[in-house]
Amino acid sequence: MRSDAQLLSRIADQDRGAFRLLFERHSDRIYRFALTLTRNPHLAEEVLQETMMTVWKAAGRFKGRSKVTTWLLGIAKNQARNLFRKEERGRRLPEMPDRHGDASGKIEMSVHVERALDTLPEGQREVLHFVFYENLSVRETAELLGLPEGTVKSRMYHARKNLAKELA
Amino acid sequence: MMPCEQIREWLPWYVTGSIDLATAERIAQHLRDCETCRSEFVETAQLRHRFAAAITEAPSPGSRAWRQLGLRLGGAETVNIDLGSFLIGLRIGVAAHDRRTPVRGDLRIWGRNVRIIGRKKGA
Repeated sequence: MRSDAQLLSRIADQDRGAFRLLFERHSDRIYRFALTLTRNPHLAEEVLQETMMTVWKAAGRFKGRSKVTTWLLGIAKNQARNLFRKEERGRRLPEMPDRHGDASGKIEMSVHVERALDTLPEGQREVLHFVFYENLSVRETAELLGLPEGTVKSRMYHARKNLAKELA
Repeated sequence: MMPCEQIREWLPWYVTGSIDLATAERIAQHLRDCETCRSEFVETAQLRHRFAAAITEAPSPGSRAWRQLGLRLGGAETVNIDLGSFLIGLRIGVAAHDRRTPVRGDLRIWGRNVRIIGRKKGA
């Protein structure tokens, strides 16, 4: 099986087969991160589209200094920021799918977490996602966010305290 | 010995295992002796489980997202034949875009693609 880095090298030569493989491997990951950030499925899809278009155009810029996953999440983060700037996020209400009628306890639990996430600032949702979902280390998270490691730890501390309070 | 405040800041990474061994050992030792931090460790583990489960529940963008992307790239690829290995091979792709069906062919030599059919990259 070809590694992600090998796929990127072929994408740099405009290989659509390699691009499709990379998309299949990482589209859910990018979409879920975008959803955590934007809290809006339409915007999350837009972030995914723009992220993958950037990968198509700039695959040759990947130098292997980080994991491909981290590189992709970094692009997605920047694309989400660009969208926020365009969309004046303050005026938009979250449009998460209504799953309240579902009898499944698992779905019910997700709905509680989604509601809690809506109340947290973007920076706290972002750090929760990187640490609790992507299992990134302090160093990797700090690099992705462009923050000192101490700031990452303290932001994560406040993020989980706020999330726990909302879920209580 | 690490103070409780420092231990608590490290707990999310201790829970996910994304931490160096020496720090993990210091935290484990602290948790054995400190009931308050132990209780916070359990809370953090539960919180991480709920968060990760909720994110995993999010619906996937699926094939629709790929189709849209294909159109932006200049047509959805309908046929893609790839023969040979990563180093040497031949790849032919046929796309559908409006009324056109562009065909592209690349010869792969030592892992590099050389366009032999269709427009060259950037042309």
